[in-house]
Amino acid sequence: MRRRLRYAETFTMCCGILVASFGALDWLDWLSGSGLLAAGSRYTATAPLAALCFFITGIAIVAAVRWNSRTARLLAAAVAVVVVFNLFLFAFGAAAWPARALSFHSSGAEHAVMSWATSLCFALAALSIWLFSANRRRWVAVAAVAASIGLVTIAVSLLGILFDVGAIYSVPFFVGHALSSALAFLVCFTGLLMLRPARSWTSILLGRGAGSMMARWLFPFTILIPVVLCYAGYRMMVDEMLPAAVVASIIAALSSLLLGASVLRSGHLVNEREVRLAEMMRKMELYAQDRDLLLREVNHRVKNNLAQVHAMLGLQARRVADPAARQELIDMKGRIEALSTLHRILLANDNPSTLCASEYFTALCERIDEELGAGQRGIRIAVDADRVPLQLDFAISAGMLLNELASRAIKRGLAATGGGTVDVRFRLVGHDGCELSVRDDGSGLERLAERGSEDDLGIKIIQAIVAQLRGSVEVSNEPGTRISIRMPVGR
Amino acid sequence: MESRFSVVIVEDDFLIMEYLRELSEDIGLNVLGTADVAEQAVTTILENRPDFVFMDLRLGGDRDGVDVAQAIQPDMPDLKIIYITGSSEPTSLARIRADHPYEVLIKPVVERDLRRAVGIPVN
Repeated sequence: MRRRLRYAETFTMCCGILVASFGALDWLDWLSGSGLLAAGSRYTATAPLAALCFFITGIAIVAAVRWNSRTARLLAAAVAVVVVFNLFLFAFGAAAWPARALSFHSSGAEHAVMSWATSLCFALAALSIWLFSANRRRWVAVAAVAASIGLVTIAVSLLGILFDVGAIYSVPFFVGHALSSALAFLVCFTGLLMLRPARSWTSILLGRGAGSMMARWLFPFTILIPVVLCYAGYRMMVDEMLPAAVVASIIAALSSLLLGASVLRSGHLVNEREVRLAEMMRKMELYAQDRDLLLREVNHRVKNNLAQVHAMLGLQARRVADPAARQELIDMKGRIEALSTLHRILLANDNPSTLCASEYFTALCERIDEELGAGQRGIRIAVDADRVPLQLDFAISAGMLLNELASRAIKRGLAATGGGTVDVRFRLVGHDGCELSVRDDGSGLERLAERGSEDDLGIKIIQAIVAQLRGSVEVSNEPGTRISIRMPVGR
Repeated sequence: MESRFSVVIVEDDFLIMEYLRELSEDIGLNVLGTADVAEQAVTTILENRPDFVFMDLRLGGDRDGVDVAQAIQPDMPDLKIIYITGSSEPTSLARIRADHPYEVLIKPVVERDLRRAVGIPVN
């Protein structure tokens, strides 16, 4: 499509250059006085004013493609002025004046000024150039409509000349509308329709879609068939081979048939396309189901492996005589339980790429409470977290951090006092920071601030995660101990 | 120890099975037998007639824990089956719910869960 659009631009520019050259040549022809075009035939001659307009219009089209829209608009305005001037000449009966004034040659009144048809076409061209450079879609559409009307007018004129030259010039509107002008207009409007193809109906012809391919196929036929039918019919009527009514009915029947066939053909193509799409959708669904199954299987494996590690630690803990070592193993088992819990909460989530901080931390604390039997020991865990989405990586690290902090607060700090509250808070701070804080009534978190506490694995884990999350720890002794961790939030 | 409850453990992962066995014995359950595939599970349960069965959902082979439960249902309609599953997915849970389980536990199982499930109070 993009390549075609570039071609369209080049095409329009060539059209502009052609039109301008034609205008210039014709103008020179008039100035030279000999007037090859003018002298050739009254049907091939273009009026001097029209020649001037073609010259300006051509340059305006080139300007619209190459330069800026302001130049194009100025030139379009100039064309409009000439058209109005031409109408004045008509009105005041000074139709022969331009030819006399601008050249040394005058072959008659009808050649001096532009015909009604020519005037209308120039007005449409000027309007179209002016509006094609507009920003609003609606105005560009109006420009495309103007250019299309121009093209249809020219088609009538050209076909009229093809069918019967005398007949077309008997219509006042077309009187003086020369063949050369009509051809120049054909080039001019075709070029204009390609000026901004992305925003007019020509985009359908240039597109890459199935509809565009179909349109490119059928478009020439839908244009040529009526022309050929009508021309053949007209010849038959002129030669009196068949009565006019019969010819007209043949034309009607044949054009109905052919237009109907083209509609059916496009319907068939759309149907075929739809079948292919449905087939593709079915394949995609199957593929998605397979992926889903695979993902579930992998998740199951991960959970199973965690359960195995948990079981091994449990088995080992029961075989260790040293109470301290045994406690370490039980703590480690607790961490694996916490990881399993994180995993379970993450998987229960509908949208697995992010999860809500508030729901996540609440669920996690409920599980910690359950695991450690905090409620039964008179310990309450109060969670207060902002409802914000969290990234998965961040959520897992922050969850492990919270697990360590909250477990410590419950196990050590409150075991002694035999009851109390653990406050867990999660707040957004500033634009991209957050604060996770755990406060206990006792002294379970105090040791975190002490130096030389690297022997304590829990503290080491907390420090490692805080470092990984680029956070900083702050310990404050209110009533009880409060640990706050500030870190960039992963959302 | 007249009032000791008895249990059969059905689990296809031997590590977890051993852990469950020790955990069960620890809380005072009498482990009558273990099984890791469906057919073996049915025979073991029918032979030993325990009070409880700890049943894994996924087993080695085509048949799962629910199939085992349904196979023994006619003979032992009052058997209390406690499902212990690694998967908390809706599809797995729906499959278990179809069997009206006595209790459902999610792995990893801790002592507290097991005690609560069989109704043995925490010391």
